[in-house]
Amino acid sequence: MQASLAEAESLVLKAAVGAGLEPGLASLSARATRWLCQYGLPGTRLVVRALTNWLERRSVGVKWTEERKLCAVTENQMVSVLYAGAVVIDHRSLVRAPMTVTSPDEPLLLLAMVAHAMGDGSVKVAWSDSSGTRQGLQVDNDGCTFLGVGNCPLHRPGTLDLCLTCDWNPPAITGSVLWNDAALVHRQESVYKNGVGIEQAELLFLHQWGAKTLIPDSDISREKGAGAGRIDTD
Amino acid sequence: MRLPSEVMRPERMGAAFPTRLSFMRSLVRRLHREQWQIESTAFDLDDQGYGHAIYAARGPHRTYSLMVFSNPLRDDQRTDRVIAESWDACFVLFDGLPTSAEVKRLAVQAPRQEGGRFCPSDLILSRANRSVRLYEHVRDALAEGRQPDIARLAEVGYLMRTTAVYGNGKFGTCDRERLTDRPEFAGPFQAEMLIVYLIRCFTLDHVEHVARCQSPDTFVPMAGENKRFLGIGNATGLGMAPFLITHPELIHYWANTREIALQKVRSTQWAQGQVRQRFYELLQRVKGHVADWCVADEVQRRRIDELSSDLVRLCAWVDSETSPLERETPWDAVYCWAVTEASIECQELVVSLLIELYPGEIDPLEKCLATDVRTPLDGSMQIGTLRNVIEQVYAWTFESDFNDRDANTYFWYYSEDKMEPRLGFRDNEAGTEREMPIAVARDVQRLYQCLSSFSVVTPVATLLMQYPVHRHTVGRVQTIAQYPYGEVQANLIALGSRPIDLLRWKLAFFGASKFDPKSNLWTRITLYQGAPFPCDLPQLDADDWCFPVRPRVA
Repeated sequence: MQASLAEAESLVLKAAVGAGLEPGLASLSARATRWLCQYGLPGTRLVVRALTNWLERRSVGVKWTEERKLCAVTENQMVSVLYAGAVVIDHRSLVRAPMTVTSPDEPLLLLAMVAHAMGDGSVKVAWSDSSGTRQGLQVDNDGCTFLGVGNCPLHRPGTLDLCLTCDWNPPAITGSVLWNDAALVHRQESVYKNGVGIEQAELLFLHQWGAKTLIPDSDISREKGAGAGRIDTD
Repeated sequence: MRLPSEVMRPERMGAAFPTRLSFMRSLVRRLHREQWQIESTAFDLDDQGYGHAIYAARGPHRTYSLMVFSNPLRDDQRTDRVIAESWDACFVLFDGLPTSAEVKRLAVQAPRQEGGRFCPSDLILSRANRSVRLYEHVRDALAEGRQPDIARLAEVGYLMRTTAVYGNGKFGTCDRERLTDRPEFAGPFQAEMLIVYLIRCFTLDHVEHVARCQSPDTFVPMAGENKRFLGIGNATGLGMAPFLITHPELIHYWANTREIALQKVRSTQWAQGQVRQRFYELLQRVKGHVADWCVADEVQRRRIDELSSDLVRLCAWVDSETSPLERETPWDAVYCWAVTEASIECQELVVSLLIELYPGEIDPLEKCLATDVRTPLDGSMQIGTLRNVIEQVYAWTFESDFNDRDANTYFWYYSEDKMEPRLGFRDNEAGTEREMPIAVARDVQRLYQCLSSFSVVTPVATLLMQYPVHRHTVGRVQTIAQYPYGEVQANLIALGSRPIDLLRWKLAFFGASKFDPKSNLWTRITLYQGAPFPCDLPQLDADDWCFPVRPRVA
């Protein structure tokens, strides 16, 4: 389905709340999804995977293991970015050095969450060229910068505020975006023109969980709940 | 300046009137200033008025098209509820001039409304039902060669009533952010205001067309002043209220701007003669306007009666020997008189009247009504600071005792039935675990209680890592600390809560008038009553249509 950015955000918000995520975290995921989608990135796919991981307990919340290092609250599981994103954002001005998140389940979604939360209108997808200088997702304010340049996937210490370390290979969709997608910046206009593509399986997932925020119809609800008669006309 | 604790209380919000800063007024000023050309480019309706029509609105930079699809509707299907499945007419505001393929596409999709799929060239989606009370009377009168009964026009105020206006990406329509760099849509809800304006044009053309077909030999067109007295109706329910809760920064800008406008006028040292004269004229006009305000609702009728009486006393006071208008700070005196001597309805009407007096001072403020800002959560804020903010900014929440069932009576939810927003009783309806996050007072109290288990120097980030359930509320408290007019200061789940007060406030910002409550959750209103039609724009004073009164019978 071709959807608007607002629909993508709204679908994710409802599904996340329906799945049991706290509203503040759900809205963070929803806005990050929209942020990705506006650059033609598959935000809904990433959030569906993140929600599935969390619902199936493959990914869990985070704890500090040492200063500036976050890992899963349960050993041998991935960090759910649905939680890690909020923690990184909330601690960004407290931890005045790079934070490390160990094995986030959806690194690209995590980056989008942080990038969006930092955003004051100057957040950009920076992609100068394919050979060196500025690739990846970058936030150009307050020195918050996330780059995908380097040989070690998702890990580049140094000037970054956030390091992501993974003991698994990122899925192709994440890797390709982080390392080698020169067309990224050109997709935004296409999204505005054509909308956001959401695959059927993702849509089904989002609708199914989103439906859990709705209350089944009943006679009393239909008659009294809206403050107007069943037939309201003049 | 009036404080949020005064302005953002439901009893005052529920007495709001449109002002010259209202979004419809801004749009009509723009249409006049930029000499927009609006014309029907297709009017393919049969004798009964069924078919399609297109209206092109040409501005200095772009053209927009209202696409109309008018279909038969059985009387027993005509309902204003969201759960309706069909309507007398459906509309799309299209970006540009549609091709025949686009007309065909929208002829299928537009009548399906929420069930249809739209694309980024479709800016706004809407639908409307005929007023059973008025439409046939007007049609038959015109067909028989006479003007409709003015009293009937005054009683209803519109021929058709919109029952939803969707934009900002709903059902695949264009995202708002794509439009904000267009000057004509930079202000709040300007695309929505444009489609409603064009729909009003259509309703008048429609009834004249059907009347003409009914009796071509005797038909007469409606007199211009009668036409202008007809607006476009709207029926509004709970769906509008959550917007006020989910957009605190924007709501702050609206309320704060209006208060700045009022303060500017109240600060005026001396009133010039022509401004005093304008005030007298407006007072007389508004008395007529209120006299035409017909409602069935007992509570609102009493309020209107009281307002009428207040206006008589206000007129007497400004005419008296102790008239304040020739003294220093006259408008402050008028406002203060209203506060001490009159009802809240009258006080808020006085606010609208005062703001009306100084267009040169006030109109530039309309640029302050739009924002897309979102306040980021500050995890470094200490718990002690957050406590202080709650105690200062959210003191009103402690008026509610959530151990008392009355404070916890309702829950807001979306029904599975077309996602219609509804209000349920917590004690005897299922589904409270799925309530909308709209109980701000309760959530702030819960947060406040939780804070007591933390040291005052602990950063909020630590709290939220342990209790992510409070993240939503912490963000809200921090936002309201910066945007204090952004919060409705009321427990919206309490027994006695009147969501209709929130609806009226928002609708007044749109420019709505003749609020006609059907319950505490539902109201009808009139939009653009008195506004110039496209043909009037070049000639008439396109900005002097507030508080319209019924035309005199010739």
